Amino acid sequence: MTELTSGGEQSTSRPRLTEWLFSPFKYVAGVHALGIGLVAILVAGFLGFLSNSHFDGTLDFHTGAAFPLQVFLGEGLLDWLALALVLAVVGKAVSRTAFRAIDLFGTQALARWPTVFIAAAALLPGYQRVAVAIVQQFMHPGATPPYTATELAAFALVMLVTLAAMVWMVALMYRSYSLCCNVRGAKGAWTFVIGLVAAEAVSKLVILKIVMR
Amino acid sequence: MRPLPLDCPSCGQLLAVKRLTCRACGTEVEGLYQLPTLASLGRADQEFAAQFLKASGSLKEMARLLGVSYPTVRNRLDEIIARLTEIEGQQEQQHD
Repeated sequence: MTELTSGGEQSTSRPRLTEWLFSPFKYVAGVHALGIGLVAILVAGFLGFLSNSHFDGTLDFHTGAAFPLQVFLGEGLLDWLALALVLAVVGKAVSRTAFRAIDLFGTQALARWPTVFIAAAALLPGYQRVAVAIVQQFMHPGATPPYTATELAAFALVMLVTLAAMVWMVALMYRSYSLCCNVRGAKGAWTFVIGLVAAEAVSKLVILKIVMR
Repeated sequence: MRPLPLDCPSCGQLLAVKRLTCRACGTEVEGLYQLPTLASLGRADQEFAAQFLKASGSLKEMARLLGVSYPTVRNRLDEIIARLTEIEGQQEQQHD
């Protein structure tokens, strides 16, 4: 495969695994990224349905109430749409080049694929018991924890996976925005953070409205 | 043939051509000639520009040929456009 390096040289090396993990958009964008990304979002939503784990905000993951499958699927789609739309507006405002919306929407969808790992990890036996028990302990301090050490270890593992996958997802989201809108450096970083915060607020409000209905 | 040096190793400014030679008869022309803007690009940039022309200016086709995504090619083109603008600025300065 002919490859473009940062300096513009063309080489014929194959992309490394780290490139596929952290810079996949160098190779995949547009409709292809959108297709893979939407499948990942729906798979994460389905796995979330099995463990009552919600992605109820662009950067949110909570285990809680049972809802119909469409709520779990819709949450992931809304998270993606909120950030993609906000970043498209921000990108239009700050980018000095023309960019295709399909690239940004496609790569933002693909950037959410680490949520599959979070949703899969939440299926671990014992995780939910501990999650519910911790909430109950907060409400009734001093009560004996109704979970075993193994269940607590499973819970800790899910938290670790969640943290790592969230960091990975945000890194992918930034790379998608930076590449598609061609905004880099400090300007790229602070405009992305503004967009992310705005998208988190928008997605949270919309999902809350839908769930409350 | 060796690649054309573009920037002065001493001050970093664009180099100009002083002497041209006919490889067939050996005739030499001496003067002070400015390199065309495209020829002042680096080798990789020139190769990209040539491939881009051969692909009829299609970024989609370039992405397919290079095995990278559309925005990657788009950004590469933006870098070359920025470099061309910079070279034109330097050339204008040298004229003044």
